[in-house]
This record gives sequence, structure tokens and C-alpha cells, in this order.
Amino acid sequence: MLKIRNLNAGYGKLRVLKGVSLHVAPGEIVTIIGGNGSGKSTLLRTVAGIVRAQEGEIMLGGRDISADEPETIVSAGCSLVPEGRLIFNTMTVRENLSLGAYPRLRGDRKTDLQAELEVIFAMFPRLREREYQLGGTLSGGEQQMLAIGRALMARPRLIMLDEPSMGLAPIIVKNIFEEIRKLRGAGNTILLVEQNARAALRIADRGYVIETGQMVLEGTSEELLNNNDVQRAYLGKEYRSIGE
Amino acid sequence: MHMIYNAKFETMPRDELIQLQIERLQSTLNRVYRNVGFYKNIFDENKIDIEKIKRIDDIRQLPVTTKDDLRKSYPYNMFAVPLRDIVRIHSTAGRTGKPIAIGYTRNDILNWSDQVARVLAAAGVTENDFVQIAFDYNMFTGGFGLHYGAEKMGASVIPSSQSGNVERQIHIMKDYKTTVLLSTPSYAHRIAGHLREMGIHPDELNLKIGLFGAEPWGEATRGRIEDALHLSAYNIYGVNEMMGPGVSGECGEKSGLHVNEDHYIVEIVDPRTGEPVQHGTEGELVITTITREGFPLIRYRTGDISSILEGACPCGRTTLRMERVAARTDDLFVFNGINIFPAQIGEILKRATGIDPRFQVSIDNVAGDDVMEVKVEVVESMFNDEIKKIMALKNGIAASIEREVGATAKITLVEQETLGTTTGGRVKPVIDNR
Repeated sequence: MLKIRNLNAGYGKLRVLKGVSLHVAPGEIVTIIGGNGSGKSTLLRTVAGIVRAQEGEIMLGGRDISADEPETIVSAGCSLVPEGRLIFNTMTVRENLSLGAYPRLRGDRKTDLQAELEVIFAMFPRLREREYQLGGTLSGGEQQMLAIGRALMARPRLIMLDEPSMGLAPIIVKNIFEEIRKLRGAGNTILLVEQNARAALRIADRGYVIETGQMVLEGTSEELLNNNDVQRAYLGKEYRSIGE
Repeated sequence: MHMIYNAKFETMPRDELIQLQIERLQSTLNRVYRNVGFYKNIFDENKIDIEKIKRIDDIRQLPVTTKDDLRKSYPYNMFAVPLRDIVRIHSTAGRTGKPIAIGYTRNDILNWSDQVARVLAAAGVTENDFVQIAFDYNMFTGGFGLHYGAEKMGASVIPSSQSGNVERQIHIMKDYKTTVLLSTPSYAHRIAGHLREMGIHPDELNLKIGLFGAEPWGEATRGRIEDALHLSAYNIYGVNEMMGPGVSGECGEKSGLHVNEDHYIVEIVDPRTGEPVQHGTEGELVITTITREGFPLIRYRTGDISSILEGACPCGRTTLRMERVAARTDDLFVFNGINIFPAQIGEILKRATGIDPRFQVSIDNVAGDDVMEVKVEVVESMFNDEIKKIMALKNGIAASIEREVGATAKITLVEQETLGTTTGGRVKPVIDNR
């Protein structure tokens, strides 16, 4: 599905990603864990075309998208649910969702749109209840559902989620991750970036650990949960220095 | 067709496997550069920018790691994790110098077990087998490595170890109805010899499969072991420094050993120049670990002579195959300015005698001149009453060595079990008395 080789990207002279390689196979949930400023979000933003790749390949289903515009990448089947959700506060839930289908359903295709909305409402009944409510009045968890629903309206092959747990209460985080797990059950492929490593590894098949823009570990979720470095740095286990 | 234990990795399409290898290689390099002083130093000294390693072939730009480097780092300086993350330590015997300590994390042990389980399954071992492990259970990696793999696949494991009491080994084999024997090939020979002495016919045993390794052996030895023990013999390969057994093993085709490439990247280099050689060409096996946490090694020179086999294997595995290891670079000797591998002599003997006799090259200096003697163990089929024929055989061998190797050698026929052996029971290929 997604295959990245030797990716370099950054902002101006600042290089954030330094030769990153990773892959996501169809139907997988893959998570990238790393600390603040490690390059996790930049990675997703580069795949989405928002940040320019300076070097390397980003193959989506066999085609290099590293020089494509964001809208082309969405049309190619790769949608990003951005950090902080970024829904439109002054638009209704219905309008927010409809925007997600914009690249596919332009013009007078209202019946198609209604059918698409029904799919999302079936997935997130809470959004149906709030259909005509303004985005800004939703709770954090509901906003996250809305952001995911909006991404799904583009019918992506690959959904990228950037910190979906951010700012949410633990119980809501649990619900959101349950929804992500269900998305995979429905045949979606997911690339998930998270600071909440424990929650992410619980639902992911595999994961990568990124440090200062470089990959330092790859493995199944079980292997990463077993790894003492991961436990110390990301799972809050006690730390003692080398030699003890 | 034998079961493929881990089909996901053993039958992975090549392009996916290469993607996985490059990802794992890059993260391994990033980790060793951060965590192992030795690698930070040699990369910096050689002005290696690890970000420049973008394809598998780029690995050639990296410096090699030698046994000597590991000895100097004894015991713990090559470990890439804090010692409290290490759950096991094995070591080499240190016969030729300081030993090497090898550290394993929990994940390393799990991966190791999986690699060994694959190698066992490739030879046809299943969870229904009784697996007798006649490798040493100690600091050496053989016994424990195979044990965990066999247990992981669910076989019934009999940890008999490489006991000096071969009769007891045979009693265990008979009473417990052992179906799979794991040992060195020379120990299998010893078992066969004791069976004859004890008057036990191999059909009184239940052996089906034998996996042999830890020393070089060839097709003739395979035939002899199969005849003597009535089992199907498979070659397994491992390196202590790589964790132990599990690097590669033969499948039902018995045509090369499948390398567990999701864990190891293998290269073949010219042992003299260190330059990579083409697939199919013999040279020294160089291995890079790409999943190891405790003791990752970059381009480790194994000292084992092998080659990479071209082409897909009918068994369905997509992994590269390596030729069985028939010699060590350490066995290479220089005689009158000529580099000679004992295996070259072995090939000539095989052709001349029609079998694969045990032999030993002994080199002396007599009054300032180097002289070579090849001692060949006589077996019944070679024996002939006519002195003329024996002489012709000896002369023929000497002439072939002269022609093909370019060296003059005296050929001596000796009785069986008279050649000097290593502690493992293998004939020492070269005795250099110079």
C-alpha cells in the first residue's frame, strides 16, 4: 500500500526527517511512536503533500506521490486526519462531512452524497444525532469522530491519523481507538502517529520508533512492547542508566 | 513437502523482503551509532554517513567487524543495550584467544527460537517428533539455541547434550523412541560406530531425520551418516556471534541452506581483499544482523567459506540459499607462496577415490624447505591387495595436486581414527609444523 524509502523533509533549512524508510501493507494498522519533535507529524504531513519531500520515494500503490499536490494525493486515496482535528467550527457536522467528499462528488450528486453520509452515520451514530449542530459545539471526542468521518468521505485506501488521542479524556481515548480498530475491520489501512504509545501499540499490528528524524526500531507491537528502551522512553517504566 | 514454519517471512515476495531489510538495516545502523561506542568510532573514523546507506548494496561502504574487534570488546563493550536488559549470555570457547561474550535480550531469544523452529520445520521436523539434542548445553550456543526452537514448535525435546557416554546416548535414543537427532556430524559418526559395537541395527531405532552442523561436512559424509543411522540428514548453519544455530538450514530439496533473511543480510567477499564477489563465487561469508537488540553486528566476517546460490527454490521459500560451509578461512594455508584451501585437496581426493575420505594436510620444514604431506584415511572400498594399484592411486592424487594446486605433496595412506581431531571430533584439516 505505502512504501517509503530514504525520505528527507523539513522546513526551510531545518531537516526534520533524515532518511526515513517504512511500509504499510494493505489491511494493516501501523503506528509510529516517538517523542515531541521527533518528526512523527512531519512524516504524515510529507506523505499528505503538505510538507515537500526533499529527497526519497513515497510510493502509494506503486506510484511515487512525493512530488504531488495534496489534493492529488487525496484523490489517489490517501487521507490525513490532522493533529488537533481542524474541523470547521462554524459549519455544521453535515457540512463538515460533505466537504470531505468534495474531491469525489462535485456538482449535483445529492443522492450519492446522502448515501455516503449514511455510511458515516452508521459508523458514528453520535454524528447523526448532531447532524445540524455546529462543529465548534461538539465535545473533543465527537470532534475527533467528525474529523475521522470527514477523512473517510474521501473513500481513502490509506487513512493517516495524527495524534487522535490528543486532549481527550482517557475514557474517550479508549472509544476512539476502538473506532480505529473497527475501521481496519471494515477493510481500511491505517497509519497512526501517537504519543500515547501504549494505546497505539494495543491496536496496531506493527510499529516504528522514530528519534530525531531517524527510525531506530521496527517490529510487531508485541516486540516493541517487550523492548526495554520502548518501555523506558514511551511506556513510563522506571529508568536506570547503563551499567547498573 | 515439509511445512513452512513462518510463511510470512520465508515466502515473502523479494521486493517486500528488500524493503523490510532496508528498513531494519537503517534502524540497526541508527541504533549502533547511538549505543555502541565501537561503531560510532569506526563510522566516524571512516567518515561514514549512515544516512547514505539507502540500498542493500550500499552496505559495502561500511567497514567490516572482525573476531578480533569482538575480542577486544570483551566482555560487554559491544552490547547495544543496558546490561539489565540482557537476559542471557553465551560465549565462544576462546581456543584461539580471548573468548567473545554474546548478549541476548528477551526479544533476541524469541527471534532466535523462531529462526531455529523454521530451520527444523524445513527439514521436516514437526510437533509430533521426539527431538534429541546431542549438542553441548553450556556457554556454547548450540544446545540451548536448538532446544528453545524445538520447544517453540511444540516437539518433545530430549536434552541429552553431547555426552562423552555415547552408549547412554544410544540407550536414550532407543528407549525414548527418538525420531530426530541433532548433533555434529562427527558425533553422529561416533554414534554409528557405537551402534555397530553394541550390535544394535539402526532399524531398532526410530530415527527419521538428522540435523547436523557446527563443523564442515560434505555429501559423502551425508551418505555415510544416512546409511549408518537410517535417517535423512540435513545441514544446518549458525555462528555463535550471530546468536547460534538458526542463520540457515536445508529444506527438503537439500540444495543449499535457506538464509533467514528477515534477520540477516548475507554477503560473500574475497577473503584476501574483502571485495564483494558475484553470486555463485566462493568466498568468505559476511553477515549483518538486522533485528538483533543486545549484540547487533555490522558486516561480521564469519571466517566461513560459502557462496550464494542463484535461482528460486522449488520448495516455495523466496529466501536466498547459501552453499554448505565446507571450509574456514582460518584453514587457508600458504605453501611456497601459494594460497591453498584444504577443500581443494578434498575435491581431488574425492575424484580420485570415488568417496570423500577423511584427510589431513601436514606441513613441515625439512632443512630449510617446506614440505607438504597429505595423509588420507583408508576405507575398505579403497583398499586393494595389489600394491601396484595403490601406488597408482597415490601417484594419481599427487599428480592432480601438482597440476591443479601447483604444489608438490607426498601422499600417505593411514589407518582410520589415526588423524588428530579437534575437541568436537572433527579432523584438523591442517597441521602446520613450520
